[in-house]
Amino acid sequence: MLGICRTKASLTLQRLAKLNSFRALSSFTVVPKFALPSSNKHISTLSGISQHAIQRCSQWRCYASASSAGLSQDKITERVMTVIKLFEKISAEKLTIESHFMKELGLDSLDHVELLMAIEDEFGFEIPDQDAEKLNKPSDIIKYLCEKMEDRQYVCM
Amino acid sequence: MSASAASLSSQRQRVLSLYRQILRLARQWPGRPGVADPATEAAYIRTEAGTLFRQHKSLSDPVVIESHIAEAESRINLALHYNIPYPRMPNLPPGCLATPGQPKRRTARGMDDALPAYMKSYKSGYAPKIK
Repeated sequence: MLGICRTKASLTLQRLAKLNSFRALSSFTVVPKFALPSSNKHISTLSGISQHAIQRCSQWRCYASASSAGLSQDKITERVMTVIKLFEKISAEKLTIESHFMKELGLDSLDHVELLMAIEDEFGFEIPDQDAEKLNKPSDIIKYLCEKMEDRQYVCM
Repeated sequence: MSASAASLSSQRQRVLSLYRQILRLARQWPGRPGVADPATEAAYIRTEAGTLFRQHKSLSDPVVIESHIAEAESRINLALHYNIPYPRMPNLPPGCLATPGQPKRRTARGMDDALPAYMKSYKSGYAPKIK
């Protein structure tokens, strides 16, 4: 009897986790109460799955919700500079926030496109072509991202 | 002069947006389940686009640039249609590889002419140089 309860509950939790991870991408969702690790003895063995579901959901929520700490100007600067440093064609010594990609860091326009692709991957939205050609320094990118985040009503301090 | 400069800069924008389009394609490449791994094919798309675009980056004749833009667009459309990013292997004309060793200049030209327009970058003398 207990075994059957456990398997049924685990299936629904897994389905819920999948549903929530999809929904959280598009909007702010509240994780249903019975998916939280409850003190109920029967579901305590499934806490592994529910913890995983919570972790995944909260990971997505962290980037998608307005109250998260991940979108202040400092955080954006940090993330942008990390992405740029990871780009192999840039030497980390010459890199500053105001260094021009083409003139000082020696990138060509194709490398510039690849760099902006990496930033799009990091922040999760697309940068249109007309905006992309104006982003020639890390500071331009940071300013642009702040503006975009503001448009989406995220916090940018 | 200004007309050619304007056309060159608009060509430049088209080339960059094509490159961007190819990289976006590579991001969401579906692959063929059971036959081809999407990650390998996506990596192929990125490296191939990178080498081919960089190989021709110092071209200045607008007509030649236009033909290469057409080549890129054909490759994109073919990849989207067949879901295969690799170019289709062309048929060699008969008698090309009959003589052993390096093919003679006439046969090499024949082999080049057998390549379709969308494989213009693979012709002899256009060997991709990877820096």
